[in-house]
Amino acid sequence: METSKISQWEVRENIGILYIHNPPQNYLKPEFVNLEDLKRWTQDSSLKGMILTGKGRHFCAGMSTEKIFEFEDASTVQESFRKGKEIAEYLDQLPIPLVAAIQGVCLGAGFELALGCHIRVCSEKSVFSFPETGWGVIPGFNGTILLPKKVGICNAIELILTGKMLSAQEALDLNLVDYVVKENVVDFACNLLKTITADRPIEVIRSVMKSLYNERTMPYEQATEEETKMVAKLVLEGIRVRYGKIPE
Amino acid sequence: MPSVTPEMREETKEIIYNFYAEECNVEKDSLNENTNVIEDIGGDSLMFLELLSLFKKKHGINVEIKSIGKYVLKHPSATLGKILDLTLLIIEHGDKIADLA
Repeated sequence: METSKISQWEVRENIGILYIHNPPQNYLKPEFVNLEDLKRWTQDSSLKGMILTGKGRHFCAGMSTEKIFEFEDASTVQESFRKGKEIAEYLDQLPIPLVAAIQGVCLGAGFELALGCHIRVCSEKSVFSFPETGWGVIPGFNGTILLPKKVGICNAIELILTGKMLSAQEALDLNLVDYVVKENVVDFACNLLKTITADRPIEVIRSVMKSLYNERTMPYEQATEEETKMVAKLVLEGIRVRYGKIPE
Repeated sequence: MPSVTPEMREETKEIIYNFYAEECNVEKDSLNENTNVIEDIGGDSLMFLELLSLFKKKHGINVEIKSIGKYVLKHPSATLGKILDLTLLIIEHGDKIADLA
């Protein structure tokens, strides 16, 4: 198990697991992991998937209100959040499926981080909320950007402004999570990733994830051109493997 | 919001004790109203939010975390007896518990 800031990293059968480790509530700091450490860990070319979870009983209680109001000036706040968002962006563009395995509470910045993952799995007793507006701030860790994409503008406004708590079933009904499970969420997420990726070659997994990321971040013409390049590369590789030669 | 009856109090207590016994891996019979969730059975304060989700659908509870925080700041709820009282207050008053603080 390797550590970086308030994070820990382990690899189980080609699945990387990133733990938020700030017990017992797992309060988050925008820079919860050193980005260079995260890059080093995730550049392991044998990885077929990754899980983000909380160590212990809870996924993450968000940012501590005491810490939020400890910032000295606006530029410090901006710098810290920018660095945190760089980590979130890095996770989003990873060319492997990223599953948030949520147990216990998932609040504020923790909820926002989970929304940035590709797939969300939670336990039956998980609780979700954006409490920020009650403290006079907003979900500024991409929450106002990601939430409307998942639940629509109407639900996003209501969830953010009321700070309403959601049960696991309510989160599922709103498509905020993809699976509600009885078993250990990390075990479920590991099995899910193994099932999804099964015997698929790593290059195929990476191409799928890159193209899906391009679809969300590039103009259509550019994304479709990149997709064509990827399929051409994979076809050539298929021919090489099948016939043992590189076609002219 | 429903008025709390003796039956409701007993039923709520049962759910609370079952929840903490299961989550903290302790025998339900070892719990009593003076059991301190953090010191005696290794729980934490955020577990109360998970507990509330069990009552949410049944009683239509709608409460903001800030309101709970405001109340608990003045009325610490560390023991199972206090947690039962707080749960019943929330069932009865919803988000208005902040006004009771």
